Amino acid sequence: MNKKARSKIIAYIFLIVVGVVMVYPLVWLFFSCFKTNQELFGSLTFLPDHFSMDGFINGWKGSGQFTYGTFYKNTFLQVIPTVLFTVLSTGLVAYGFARFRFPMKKFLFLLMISTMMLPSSVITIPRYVMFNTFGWNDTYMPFWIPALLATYPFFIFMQIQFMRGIPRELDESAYVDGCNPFVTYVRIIFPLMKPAIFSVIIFQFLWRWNDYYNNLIFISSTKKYAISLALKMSIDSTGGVTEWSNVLSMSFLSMIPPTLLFFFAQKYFVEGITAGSVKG
Amino acid sequence: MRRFKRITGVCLAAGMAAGLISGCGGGTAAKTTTSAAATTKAETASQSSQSGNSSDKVTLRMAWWGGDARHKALLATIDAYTAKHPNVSIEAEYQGYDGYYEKMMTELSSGTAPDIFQFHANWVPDVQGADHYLADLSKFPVVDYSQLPETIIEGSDTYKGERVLYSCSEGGQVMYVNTDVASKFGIDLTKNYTWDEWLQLGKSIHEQDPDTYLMTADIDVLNRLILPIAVSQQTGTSMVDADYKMTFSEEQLTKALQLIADLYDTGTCEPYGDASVFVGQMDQNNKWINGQIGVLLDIVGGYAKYKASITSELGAMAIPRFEGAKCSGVDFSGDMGYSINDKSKNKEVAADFLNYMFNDPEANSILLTNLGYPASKEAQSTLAAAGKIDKVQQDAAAISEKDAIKYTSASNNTDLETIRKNDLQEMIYGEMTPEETAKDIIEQYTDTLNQMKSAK
Amino acid sequence: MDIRKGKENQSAPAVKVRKYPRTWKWGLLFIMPWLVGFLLLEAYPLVMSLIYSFTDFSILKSGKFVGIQNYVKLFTSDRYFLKSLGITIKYTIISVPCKVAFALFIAMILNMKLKGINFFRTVYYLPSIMGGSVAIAILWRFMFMSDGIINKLLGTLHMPQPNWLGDPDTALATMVLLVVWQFGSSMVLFLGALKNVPTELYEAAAVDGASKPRQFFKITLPMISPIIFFNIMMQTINALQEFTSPSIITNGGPNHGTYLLGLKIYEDAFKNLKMGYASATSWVLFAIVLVITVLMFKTSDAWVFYNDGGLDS
Repeated sequence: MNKKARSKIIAYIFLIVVGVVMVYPLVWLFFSCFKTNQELFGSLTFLPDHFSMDGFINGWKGSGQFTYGTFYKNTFLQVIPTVLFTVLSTGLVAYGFARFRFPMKKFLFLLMISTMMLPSSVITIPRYVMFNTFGWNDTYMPFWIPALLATYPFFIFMQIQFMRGIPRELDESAYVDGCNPFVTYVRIIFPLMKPAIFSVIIFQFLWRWNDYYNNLIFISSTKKYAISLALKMSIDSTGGVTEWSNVLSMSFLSMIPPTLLFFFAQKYFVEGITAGSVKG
Repeated sequence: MRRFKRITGVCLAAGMAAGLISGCGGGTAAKTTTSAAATTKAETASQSSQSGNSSDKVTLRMAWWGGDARHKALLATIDAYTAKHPNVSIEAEYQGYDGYYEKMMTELSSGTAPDIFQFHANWVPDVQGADHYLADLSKFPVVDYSQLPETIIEGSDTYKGERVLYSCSEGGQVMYVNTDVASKFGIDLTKNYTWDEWLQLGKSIHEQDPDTYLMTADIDVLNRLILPIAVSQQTGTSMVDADYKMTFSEEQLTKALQLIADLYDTGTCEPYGDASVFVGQMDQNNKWINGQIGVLLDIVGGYAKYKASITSELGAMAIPRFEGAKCSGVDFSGDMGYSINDKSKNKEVAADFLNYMFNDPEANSILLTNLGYPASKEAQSTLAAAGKIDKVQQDAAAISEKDAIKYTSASNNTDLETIRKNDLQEMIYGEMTPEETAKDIIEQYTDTLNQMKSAK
Repeated sequence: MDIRKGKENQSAPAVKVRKYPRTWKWGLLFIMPWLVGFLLLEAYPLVMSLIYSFTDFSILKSGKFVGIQNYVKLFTSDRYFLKSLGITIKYTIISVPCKVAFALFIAMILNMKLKGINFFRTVYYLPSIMGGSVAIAILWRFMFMSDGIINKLLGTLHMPQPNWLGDPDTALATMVLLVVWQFGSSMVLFLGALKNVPTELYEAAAVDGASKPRQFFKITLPMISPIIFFNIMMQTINALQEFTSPSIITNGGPNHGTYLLGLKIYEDAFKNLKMGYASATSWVLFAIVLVITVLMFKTSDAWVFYNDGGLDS
């Protein structure tokens, strides 16, 4: 028992020491929200000279017509359906690949993975042209529809890997009991996949939340801007003055939703398949 | 087996459907016909609107890049205009500088660009050279060019005989000085140093205080500012002429490269590795902010950010010259401006708004210097009289204009810039001597210029 | 207690249960969303980029056919393609194992039953949440500039203070540090996988007297091997195309020390308006990634353990 306590203490010390390195940037970012440009760039000091909420207040107001209220609303409107669609579609596709036979399966799987291998720089233009003919530009369709149509090989492959850790006997016995494969997925596989599905939610939420590039290309109306675009809206490297305390304050705020999601969702993804069901 | 056929059939059908859809996207023929139809329709529409019916609702899209101050000023200008023209509404699409070029290229190529947009004078040759993307503003008599200097109109706004840009700002390269550092180390702002004097001064400053440097430069400053300036000071003209011929000799280029090497060897310039962290962001350099660097080189348009970056007074001074220089080597030209999308359905209205932005006293008093140092003579004098332009910025503009030249657009070509940039870095990292670098640059220049010439 | 043995044992009793229907309609039905998505949304851009690679398409001007000239140019007259490819491979070989190993190590610790572990897990995920934010660019500069925080620390310890971002080799190292520091997504997946290892296996092993390291190698590693494989594969595919970190921190410099292929492709495509050429570069990269991926799949048969007895059963 003594040995166990000692290993716990070592684990704590380690977690705290490494944790400082992990959390340092966030604390630095937080204090930087209160610094003037000269303080921020001119000195290495950690704490600001004065604490004032100006960065947050002025930053939130945005630079003209819209406040960050609009940008947050837009981002949620864009990201939440995208995440839900991703969960729905990629799980089914993963199920199809993990549990069924069909012709050219290996080829199709490789084809799916291979769509991740071409840098987005060279497919942006044809994609833009295509979405333009669909009339999707300057709407959130370029974010929603690809999610609905499961064009996220990362999440499909990821769920295949988790699904293959689930013994076949479990779902096939449900099939024997008269459930069709779809019902089997909904009743057996989906609940067992909870850890993987919450990983999908966390990742997809974060990645869409931070997605600057697609927003830049596909969204042109300022009133539809998401946070990722809004954060860079005041940075003019060609000669304008940038109030960095505003920018950094808003960057800091923008990290809070994904952090909260992670904090509250983690109990699901670390839950694991309950011991009882594995025996089946 | 039969089922297999059925499935392949389905797949084929799906594939064909996809083919059809992609056919619409890729079929340029189809696209041009529709857009041609759209333009004819637009023309009839604009004709009908010309014939007296000015109450037709018009919505314009307008794009620009900038910081908060510019966003606010332009939005206020739009409001002031639409208040007078209630039938016009203008949708603003504004963003930071990052990604603006990529976005404009994407939108222009797909015919989805805004009606009116901010543009860099340097982008015009690439864009208009590829296709007729930018409207010829001389077709719209409402656009009054009379307040722009002829050199700007000719040098920056005109492409192949058409006025495709309305320059809103002008300027050339200049040196920005932290005046506290200047008085501490005896930098004379009124003097036009020779490069030899400059190197001596730099050396002595760095010897007095090993943490202090006379100046700093990142790769873009070296490549776009110092090197062409040093070459042109010897030749008295742009590095490449309008016929795609090099105007400089290998010796002249070597001398310019040697100067850059000397800037580092004497400790005049902050070490390259330290400065490279701040590419394009010299105003964020901690040594500059803390008064350990005295001088920066940039264009007049950068004034605001450098002024805001330090607590000391900012000063401006002329860039040093070689002894017996034929000119200052500075490229004095239009910096950025506004263009109208040739595919716009409301070019008339866009032209009217564009003219309002730059020639209406009301707009000038809202915009102030938020679009850079104004190119319009009228705006310059009224703003200066009203004390709305800093004296130092006026000085900077005047200094950069003195003995300046205008670079040809061929000279500013991206491929040529890349050649210099790559070789310069290799020289600075000691992989080539200035002589070898000069030889190599000329070799690559010759190839690229031949290609450019034959492409033309 | 080697669970690999279970692989053979499992396929035998599996005959007893009725398997999923042998027709392929269900499988095809389930993958239909992706198949439609591929044909509708993905196929056209992919094919177009392949077509571009044989033209001198410049975004602004529809290109004319130039045959394999772009590909020839890449290998004969482009001074930076092979250099860039070399740096990219070096970056991948260093960053992927470091990131995956670090993520697994931290996940093992965060998998312990400790008070406040939820808090620690969140803290360890924070760097990933920052993503490619502008704040990262400023922060990294502060840490690694020649008179930055890291060198101040090294100075007090009387250690050599390299010019991290000013020297081509160390600049690449700081880039590796950045991606390793953002190890959150790999860690989350490992946490999920570790929780799925049935505790009975450890209990049985403990009864058999197996030491902790032995348990790790004989139980933990095989059980989470599908996720190890997944993480290595995805990180490799991403690293070979990495674009964000060099573009926000070093812009490919100094002296092309961090000029990763993803950045070169982006610059050629959008800054230099050579979309045809960038497409050709991308397809060469595509071929390289594809070969590596297929090789990894081939080797995976030897070391990745699946509980379901194989993808094609």
